[in-house]
Amino acid sequence: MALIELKHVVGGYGGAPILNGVNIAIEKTDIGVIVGPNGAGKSTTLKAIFGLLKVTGGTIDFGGENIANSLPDKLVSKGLSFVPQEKNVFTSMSVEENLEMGAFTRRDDFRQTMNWVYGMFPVLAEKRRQPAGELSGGQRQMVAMGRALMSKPSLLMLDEPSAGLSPRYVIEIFETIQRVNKEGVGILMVEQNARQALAFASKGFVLAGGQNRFTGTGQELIADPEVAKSFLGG
Amino acid sequence: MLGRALLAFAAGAAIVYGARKADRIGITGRWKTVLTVFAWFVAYVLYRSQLDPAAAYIESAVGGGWVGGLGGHPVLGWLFGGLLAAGIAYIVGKISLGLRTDYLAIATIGISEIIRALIKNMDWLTRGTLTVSPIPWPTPLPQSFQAGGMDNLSALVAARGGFLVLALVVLGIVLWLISRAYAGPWGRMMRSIRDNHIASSSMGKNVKARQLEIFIFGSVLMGIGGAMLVSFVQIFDPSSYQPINHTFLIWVMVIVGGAGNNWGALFGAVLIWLIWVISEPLSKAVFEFVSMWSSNVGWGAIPEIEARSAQMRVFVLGLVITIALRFAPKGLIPEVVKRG
Amino acid sequence: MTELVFFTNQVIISGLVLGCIYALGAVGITLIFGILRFAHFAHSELMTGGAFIAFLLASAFAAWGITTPIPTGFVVLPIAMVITAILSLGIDKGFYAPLRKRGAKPVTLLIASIGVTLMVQGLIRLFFGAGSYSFFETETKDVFRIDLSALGSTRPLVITEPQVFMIVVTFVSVLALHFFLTRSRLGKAMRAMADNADLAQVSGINTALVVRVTWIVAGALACMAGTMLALDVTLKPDLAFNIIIPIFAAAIVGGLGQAYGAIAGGLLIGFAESLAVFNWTMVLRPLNGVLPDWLQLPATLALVPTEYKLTVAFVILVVVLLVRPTGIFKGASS
Repeated sequence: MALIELKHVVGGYGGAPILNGVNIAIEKTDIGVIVGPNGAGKSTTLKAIFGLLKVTGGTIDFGGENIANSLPDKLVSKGLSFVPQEKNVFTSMSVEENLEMGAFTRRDDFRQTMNWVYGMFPVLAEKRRQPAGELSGGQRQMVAMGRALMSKPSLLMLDEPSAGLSPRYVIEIFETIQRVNKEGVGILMVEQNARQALAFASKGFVLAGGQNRFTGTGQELIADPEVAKSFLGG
Repeated sequence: MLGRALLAFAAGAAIVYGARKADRIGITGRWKTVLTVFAWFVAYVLYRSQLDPAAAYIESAVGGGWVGGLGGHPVLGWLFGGLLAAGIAYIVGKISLGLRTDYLAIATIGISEIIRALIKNMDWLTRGTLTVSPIPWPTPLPQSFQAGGMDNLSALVAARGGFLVLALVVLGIVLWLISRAYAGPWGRMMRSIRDNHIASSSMGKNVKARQLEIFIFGSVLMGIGGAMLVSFVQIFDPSSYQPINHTFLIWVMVIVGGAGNNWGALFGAVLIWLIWVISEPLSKAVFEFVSMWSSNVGWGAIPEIEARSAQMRVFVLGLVITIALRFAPKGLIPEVVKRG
Repeated sequence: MTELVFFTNQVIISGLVLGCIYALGAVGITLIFGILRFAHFAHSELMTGGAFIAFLLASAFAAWGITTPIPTGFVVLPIAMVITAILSLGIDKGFYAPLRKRGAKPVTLLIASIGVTLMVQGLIRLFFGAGSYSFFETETKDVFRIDLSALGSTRPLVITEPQVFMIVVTFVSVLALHFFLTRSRLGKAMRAMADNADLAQVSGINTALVVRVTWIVAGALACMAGTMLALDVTLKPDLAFNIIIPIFAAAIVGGLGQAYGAIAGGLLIGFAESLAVFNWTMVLRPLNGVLPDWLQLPATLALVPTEYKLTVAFVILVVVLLVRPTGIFKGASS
């Protein structure tokens, strides 16, 4: 059974729907990448899963139940985490406090998880007392991912994790995402660097106009001449 | 002496202006800030040193007790009230209109408290707690009707009726002007700025200047209103102007009636005034009823019913604000937006 | 030495006492602004209401014949704080939460809070009339006069018992608040929500719970500030309404949303008011012996006349809003 499965999801911010039937299925071992032109509903899909906008049709199955229109704090306790694209760290709080906030829903001892996160991002361990607002863009992205991992999610959703980063950091973040996936966390991300992200994606979804246009493995989509022509810039 | 105070004020202003321009002679950054603060201090001390004796002189018997009393017609005074309000509004608007809405609200309440404190305590100008009275009426007083042989009641009615007619005329003129302006190009521009000031400024409208303009215009109307109120009650007592009874009361009128709609504001004014006036006797009746019941049961009567029911007005006003915001956020007569 | 003691009495003690009250009120305003993004004008009524609750409790204690070694006002304070906290939760649920749910603008909430101000104000006057009350009708207000003649001062250092308690209680509460905000899970969640409410929600922080905790903390601190103010002066229905703008000034000077800034801002405004009306002649009088005749000091030499004491705070407020609207500690600007 899939870890998360979206079937014909329709939804929007109250006016005309932005999503007109999105289908996505991700296994625990998968890295799923959503690509597509601006306004295709990529970020909206993630927000719909996370209960940040109204889902008016279709189902979102996660862990055997329909989670459409659940509140974010319930979803976090169920094992879903989300890293927004912008403003994704608490700038006035220290790195360690940022991580603690990610563990807010947990009432057990989360020190082990924190060490796990620090093991994955050694630079954060060095700067644990520093306010997150003083870090560089790449390091902030790490804090944001670390915060999202603190709830020990089974599915991590990332909204354009490479946005605004220098090419060196883009590679580093993508490598980190693959490492997180190997540790047993399913990944669903939206990416602008489509070609680069699809290269390591086990599942790729091309959205346009709020609907699936193409679905396949990352390599298949890169190899598909039509996808390459219309969506990957030739 | 007041002249010397004015001179001192001008000198102080020059000092401050000079300090602000200190970067021209190479003083910049922190030192300029220090210099500016110091210049403000010097200017303030200079002004105070000249004003204090002048104020003391005016307040003493020799000075006559107050300034003013030109003997003009009260309606001229009303217009002057509007003019004065425009001047104050210009300064207040210049200072605070750039702020965000909630900061703006706090800033204007703060400024109004400063002005109130000044008016209350500048005895030389306003006589402060001594109050200025009697203030002449623009229409014949009841006394003059009585002199004409009328009995007390009908003289009162006639005199107040005269004032009412005059007030209605002023209201009519103002309403006629603003309804025309609302529909005209000026009103259209103002509404477009209100609805989307970014779009308007990209169309080449000077949004800041227009906002200041409308702020001053609104204040002129308020100034005239205040002047009319003062001449109606015939006594100027600065300490009786509490924000609860005036500022907030007018806010409620606009919110309940419908912000952005002149007829809504007018309707709200009449409605809230009715509620304001009725709630006191009404609550008095309720209290008397409850008091009668409670004394029958043996709990004793409610003491000081008169004073208590006067306080009910404030409670009712607060209740009306919160209910209106919750259930009729656009007011009872919302603005009609014409499309197409 | 006499002059120094006079200065301490007039400026340091009075500024500190005033500053403590302002600080406690401003912390509540700043927390509410940080979490709920609106200027809570009715905070003054939480203060006054809290003071009246404490007064009722103290009167009840006196009626039951319970006497306490310290002023009864301080003994009943914790109970009054709990009641005020519950009251503020109710006010939020009844008047602000429905507006927030609709997505009303901050200024609408500000006006709603003015409506609440009027209602509470009306209710208090309804039950207590417009007169003033004293906590010290059945017990005495101890005044400590510390004789400093050994140091060569002809004046004693004067401080009242409530003032001593007030300073101690404020200090302890500020310390407790500090530990709450930096050490506890909920306190950190409050800071997180003030920092970035959307991200707090996404992180799984129970934002409704944080809102409730904010009202509890703000309400309790408001009750503390109001009661202590009433213990220092007298209790009347417009007790705190008159000082709400100085309290806003303190919160804005400290940077709205910044708890520590609000405390610093409160003390700053308190001292500024005391300093502005301080009569410098009393301290500088020895100079009269040195100065030539034409430069003798006048009988009163204060920066502003006493009747403008509160105006000082308004002027500071307006100047800060103009020069640095984010406050001296850089608060939430959005």
